[in-house]
Amino acid sequence: MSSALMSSALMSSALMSSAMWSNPVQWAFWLLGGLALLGALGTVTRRSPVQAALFLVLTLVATGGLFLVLHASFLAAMQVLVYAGAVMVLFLFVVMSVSHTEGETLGLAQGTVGKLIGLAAVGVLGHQLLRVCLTVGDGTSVGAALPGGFGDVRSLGRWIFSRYLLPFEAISVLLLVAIVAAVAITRRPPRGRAEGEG
Amino acid sequence: MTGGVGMGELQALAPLLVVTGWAALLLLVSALAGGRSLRLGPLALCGLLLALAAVVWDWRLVGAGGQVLFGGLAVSDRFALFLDALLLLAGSLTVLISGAYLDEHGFADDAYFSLLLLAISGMMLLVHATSLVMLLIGLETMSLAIYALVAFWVGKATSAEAALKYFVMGAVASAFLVFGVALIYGVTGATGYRALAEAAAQAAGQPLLLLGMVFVLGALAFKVAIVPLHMWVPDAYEGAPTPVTGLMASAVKAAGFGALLRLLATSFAADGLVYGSTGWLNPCWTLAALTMSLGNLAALRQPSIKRMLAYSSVAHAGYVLLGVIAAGLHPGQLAPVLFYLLSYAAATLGALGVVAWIGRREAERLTFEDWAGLARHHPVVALAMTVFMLSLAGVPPTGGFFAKFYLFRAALRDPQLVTLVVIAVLNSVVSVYYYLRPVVAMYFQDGVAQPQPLARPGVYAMLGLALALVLLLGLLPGVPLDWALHAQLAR
Repeated sequence: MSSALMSSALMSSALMSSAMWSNPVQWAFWLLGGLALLGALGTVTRRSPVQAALFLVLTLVATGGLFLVLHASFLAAMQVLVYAGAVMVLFLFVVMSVSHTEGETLGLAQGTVGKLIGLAAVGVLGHQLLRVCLTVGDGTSVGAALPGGFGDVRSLGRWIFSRYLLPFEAISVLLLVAIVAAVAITRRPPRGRAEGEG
Repeated sequence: MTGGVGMGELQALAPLLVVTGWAALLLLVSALAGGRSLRLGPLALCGLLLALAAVVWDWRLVGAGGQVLFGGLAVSDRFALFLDALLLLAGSLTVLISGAYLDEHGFADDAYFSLLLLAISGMMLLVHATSLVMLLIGLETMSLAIYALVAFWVGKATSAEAALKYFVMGAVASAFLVFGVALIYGVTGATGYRALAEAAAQAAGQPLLLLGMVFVLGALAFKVAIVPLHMWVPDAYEGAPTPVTGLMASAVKAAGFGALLRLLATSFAADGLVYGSTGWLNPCWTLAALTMSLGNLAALRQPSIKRMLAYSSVAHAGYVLLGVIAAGLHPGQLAPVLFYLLSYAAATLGALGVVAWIGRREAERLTFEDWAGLARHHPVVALAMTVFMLSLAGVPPTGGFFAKFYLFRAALRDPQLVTLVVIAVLNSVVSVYYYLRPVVAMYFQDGVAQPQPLARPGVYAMLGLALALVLLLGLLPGVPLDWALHAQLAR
């Protein structure tokens, strides 16, 4: 969601620049940003869960491409491998094993009030984004101020294990919590008292 | 970029590291036990007490100014350590009562205690965080563990329903938090509180920054149950195992308010972010008034004592928010809020402890009729429950009275808050009615024969400790207040 929003922000600022048509990077940016937005729209509008999940794959792959445009090759590879690969395969697995019938749709029919609230939120956010894009200036400077080695494995590793060591370790604990929690709540209900059960 | 972590940084984070490590140890022990049912409660308690000792040690170590850790990602100051102590205390009381409760209601306790410790480590991370990144990780660690604990009552429909409601709404709140962090980072280019304070002072009034602030504060407001983000509270509190309800009402609330206090007092403290039509003062004022009023009015009509205590926790969140506003306006005024959180935690843990004590496997006994005539058979516990209720209502000589007194006195120093204090006092008067309902039922109504309550040493130890704490806070309020006065934020 936020990545789509950010890419749209960057996109509109790229729109302001005059030099955009001459630069192949800008072309790639436009294409990928558009694909990411298209996928995001498809994800939230498709009624079939499988189609929605596939649109999400499109968004994730396009976001991976955007990382590549930003010279973050390692992040791009990870994005595609982990999210578009592993996570989405699990998603599709669950969706396909849960929905039994062919034409099953998501039961998220929202009333008029819900749609109006959603539209209002989109309007407010869009308006703010537009204001920011108009004040930030043109998008040609994106990527210009990056330090050497930005986004490659070496610098990423150095950051993770030095300055961002604490959040890195804390996220490991977070993942541990998620695993333990998932195992704890999916176990079978005990038949007797706790003493008799493993 | 220099690598490596100093020994001093690890020492300053010792309480957090002890709790996290101990949770892993508990997991290891239950894995090695290979399916045999263990009583891990005492071991978990040891870990919490060890961490408490580390807090005392660090209190001297970090000094009055606090210690900035990991280049400003986290901090160890006396504010965080005070809240650490509160969280560990609440955790210890919860662990004490959990053992008997798990046995009685037939839970397997293999992962329960490690999840409890991991939840507390997430909360500690939340109060130590001085970066939006750490704030997010701490909040998620806490939340995931608490969701699982709420759902721990496997096979009970209300527990699963409570956990699902809490989880879905909580996930939306987390999404808003991430979104808010992204917006704030987009405007200011900073996630650390200190850098954020400087950048935000320049960018005050930027609509996207305000939107990001609203999202971040909203996510925290969800966790501490500020109206209108309190919808999950009654169901989640009622459906959760009672010791977990106690932990949610005391520790989760304290951790959430700790993070909120630090955020408002350090990084969103520029004048342009506080006052004016876009500042957080006016919305928080309105929300505090709404929270205490709606919480109290809803609590008046609840048929179940657990639900009544859930709505009472919403009302108390309103009072605390009043204190948070006062502390945000005058950064020196943290002590009354900390004292309030401590006193509320002791009283609500005690009250929910009595609820856990009275319930048996076949009968949870949550309605007021179930409590009728309790004083005749169990005079001591009935007296303890009365003290807890009086403390929640704010009647002397309990901790609740001094908590409200200090809080309102601090708020009255600011002329903008006088009306809000009047609303709060009126609300406290209203709340006396529903807090006295269980007391009236216990002492003045005749009940039918009921099953014996859960008479186990851990339960009585927990109730005794909570009672001692409530009375101590009421009779000797000076000592904890003095500690709270030393608990200042690192600048």
